[in-house]
Order: sequence, then structure tokens, then C-alpha cells
Amino acid sequence: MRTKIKKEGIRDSYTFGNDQTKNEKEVIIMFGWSPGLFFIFCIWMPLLILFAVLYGVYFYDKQKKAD
Amino acid sequence: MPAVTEINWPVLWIVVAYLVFIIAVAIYAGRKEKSMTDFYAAGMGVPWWVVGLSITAATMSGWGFVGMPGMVYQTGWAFGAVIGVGASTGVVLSFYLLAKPMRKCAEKLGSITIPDLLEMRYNSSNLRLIAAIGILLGTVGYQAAQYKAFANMLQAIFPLNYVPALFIGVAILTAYTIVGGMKSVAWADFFETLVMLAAAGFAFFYGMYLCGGLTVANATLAAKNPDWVKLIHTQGGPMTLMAFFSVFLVLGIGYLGQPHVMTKFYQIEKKIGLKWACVLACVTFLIVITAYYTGIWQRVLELQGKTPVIPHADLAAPIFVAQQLPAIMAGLTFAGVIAAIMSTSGAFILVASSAIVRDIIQKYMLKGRELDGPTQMKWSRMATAGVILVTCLISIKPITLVGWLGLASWGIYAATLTTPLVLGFWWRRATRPAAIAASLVGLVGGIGLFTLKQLKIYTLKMDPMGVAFMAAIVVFIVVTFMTKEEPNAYWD
Repeated sequence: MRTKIKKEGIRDSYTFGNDQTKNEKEVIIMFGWSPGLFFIFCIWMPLLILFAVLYGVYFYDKQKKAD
Repeated sequence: MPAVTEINWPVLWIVVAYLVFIIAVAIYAGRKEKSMTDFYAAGMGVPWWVVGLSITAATMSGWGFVGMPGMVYQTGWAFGAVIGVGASTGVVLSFYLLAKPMRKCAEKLGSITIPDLLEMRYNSSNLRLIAAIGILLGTVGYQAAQYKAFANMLQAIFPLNYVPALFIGVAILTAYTIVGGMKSVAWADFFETLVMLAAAGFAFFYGMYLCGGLTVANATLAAKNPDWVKLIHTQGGPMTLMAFFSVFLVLGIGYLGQPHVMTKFYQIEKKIGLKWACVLACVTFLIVITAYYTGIWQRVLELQGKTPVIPHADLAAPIFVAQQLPAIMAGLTFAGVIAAIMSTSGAFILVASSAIVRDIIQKYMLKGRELDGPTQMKWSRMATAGVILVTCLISIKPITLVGWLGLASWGIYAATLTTPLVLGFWWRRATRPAAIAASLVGLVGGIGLFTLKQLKIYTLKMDPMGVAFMAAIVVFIVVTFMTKEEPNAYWD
């Protein structure tokens, strides 16, 4: 069974099983992921690419000892 | 019982054509290898873009393509997310912390293995021996994971049982590794990563389409088990908060001690190429990890009643690819995955044989006496064959899923090598007794706790290798402060 909850920042909420209580409702955001998964895929991974680029354009040249 | 009832001919022809091509590359590259440095470090002559893609391929491996979808199939998104983001964080960190110093050491001091580096930094042949033993033991587990993954892939194409599939796979891998060397591995990695970039991306979006979209797929999973759409499991799943941190530690920080990946830094033609190899490795790795989520699609299709339930979790990716993707994409995916297994397997076997020949025999037992070129090559090839034989025998009846085997082996490397390697380059005060103590604690503690876990005595959710790794870090810091600083070749 699936219900929709209209709250800021929360698009969907799934209910699990037939004996669902209010406290057991899981917060599910974009694409049906939990906030943790959303953070990993949509924020952390793009940040990694940014840091990889920063290594090439800035930090590589700063490691003088290894030259 | 075989997982399929007849040979998948379209897939088979594409795979065979690709493998012939890759083996031709190996033979061509192998003909140019004349010394041990050529064999193990590709003679420092590989362009940066090949090294960048090669790092992605070595990190991904058969463990990534077969083991991870199996774990994701069993436990939902969490493991794939943690391991994907952990390893990709490790890719970036390795460039920040190790790439340039390691490359410098290789240029100035002729170091070609991680035990070489450790001995040079800490002036200790005992540390070299511990590191070499750690590498050998880690290789056994990781290589077993590669062999099992290869056999599972063959099982999805041929109506074969596991053991015959294993022997066929090992025969192909052996021919490939012994004929070539690191340079052939590096070039095969390059082609393989190109194929996998296309195949993994296609499989990810096509699988999502078959499931009815990402939101529908997640709703299907959540209806069955809420933990499957969460990063941290709260309803009995294995990825608790502590498990998350321990696995992330082993994958992310422990990445810096992975010898099969770190040796890629030696191979690059010009040091400045490290700049862009970092970006290339990071971006391509983040794309190919989408292959992990074939485990999600297989599970969702089963829950939706669109495909039969698979008999074993490790077959999730092979069966999904063989049965759900169009033939041409399935063939390319299989070819890419098999090539990934070949290249990582090759890299591992070479790292292990270098640990035997160079670190244990030449540097420790012969006290550094140089062997002539032909004798070196003869020993190297014999050690390579020996490692393959022992690992093959262990792979006949592996103790757990490919994913867990790979994680444990990764953990052995992490717990034994990462702490002395990274802190040695970045902390001048780091001492020899601290490095020896930390490596021993990591190696013995990791294997001990993993064994206790298999015996159901260790029951904590924290990954045993993560615990050993943390203990090694603490021991290293404490012993360093308790002992006197010594001069060493790197800092002085």
C-alpha cells in the first residue's frame, strides 16, 4: 500500500505491511530512496568529482615535497 | 544444477571475439617485457588515460560486477551505496595522499612494490616480510572471489555446473596472465573499462525501465522489506550504523592499501599525468558502479513476477544480463565483465607473485642479492603459476558469497598495509616499531576476527576487518609516540 504525504521536502511516504502504525512510517524522498541514499547518490558522489577536479587543477601542484 | 539449460550463442560469439582481441593485446604487450620491472610495473611507460581507466577496472573487478550485485540483491541499496561511495572516495583520496609520493619513490629509488616502499621508508626487512605475507593472504581470498565470479559468468552462458565452469575460467585467466604482465593488464583494463562504461550505463537505465522506473522499483522493494531502500538498516538488516562506518572505513580509507591499485601509480609515463588520471578514474568509476544495481533490478523483477527466482545471489547480475538485456548489450556486458575479471585477476596474481619472488625470496631470503634477468623471469612465472594453482583449489568450495570474500580480502590489505604506508609518507615522526606493530595487529587481528565471524563467535555488526583496521591505526599512533624518531630514506 502506498500513501502520499504532502510535506515540504518530502514527496512520498511508503507504508509497509498491514499493521502499519504512525511511528513506523518511513521518510522516503526523491525516487523512493531514504534521505541517506539520496545524500550518497545525489550529493556525495558529485562532490567527489569536484574534489577530483580540484586535485588536477590545484592540489597536485601544491605537493612540493614529492616533486 | 546448471543455471541455464542451453548455450546462449549470440552472447557467446561476442564474448569470444572480445576475448580473442584482449589475448592478442596481452601477447603483443608480453613480447616487449624483458625485465622484472616491465613485468610488474609495465616499465613506467603507460599513458595517463590508460592508467586512469586501468585504476577503475582494477577497483571494480569481478568482485564489483558479480559480488556486489549479489550483495545488493540480498540486502538492497545500502551495500552498493556504501561500497560504491567508499571505493570512489578511496580513488580520490589515493591521488591526494599517495600518487605523487609513490611515483617519486619509484623514480628515485627504483621501488616497484609496496613492501619495497615500506622497507625503504622504515628501513625494516621484517616489515617487508609482514607486508608480503599480508599481500599473499589477501590475494588468495580476492583471487578466489575473481575465480568464483568468472565461473558464475560462464554458468550464465553455458549449461555448466560450478566446478567445470571454474576450471575453464582458471585456464583462460592463467594463459592470459602468464603470457602478458602488467602492461598487458593495463591495456586490457583500458579496453575493458570502455566497454563497461557503455554496458553498465545501459544495464542501469534499461533495468530501471524494465522495473517501471526507479520510484516504482523502490516501492516494490519497500513493500517487501523497508530496509532495502535505506542506507542504514533499522529493521534487522545487516547495514546498521556501525556496520556502515566500519565498511566505509575499510573501503574508503583502506583503499589506500590496495596493492593491485596502488601499483598503477608506478606505471604512468609522465608524473604530471597523475593530475588528469584522478579525474578520469573518479568519473569512470562512478559510472561503472551502476552495474552493482543490476542486483536491485533482478530482485524487483522477481517481486513483480516477471522473472523466476534465481537459485543463488551471486547469479543475480549474470542472469539479469543474460536474460533481460538485448543480445548485443548482453554480449558486450559479459565480455566487459569477463575482461574485468581477467585484468584484476592478472593484477592480483602479479602482485602476489612479486611478493613471493621479489619481497620474500630476493629481498628477504637472499638479503637483496640480485638475480639475473632470465632467472627473475623464470621465478616470476613459476610463482604466478603456483599462486593460481593454490587459489583455484580454494575456489572449488568458497566459504561465502563473492561479495563477502572480496570485502574480507580488501580488509586484509587495508588493515596490514594502509596505516604504515599513508602515515609513513605524511608523518615524519612515524617509527619502525610502530609500523611493524600496526601491520601485525592489522594482519593477525583481521584474519582472526574474520575466522571468528565464520565460526559465529564474532557476532557484532561491525565489519571484522574494520575493527582490525581501527586497532592498527591506534597501535601505530601510540607506539610512534612511545618510541624514538629515526632517520629514513624518504624524509631525509
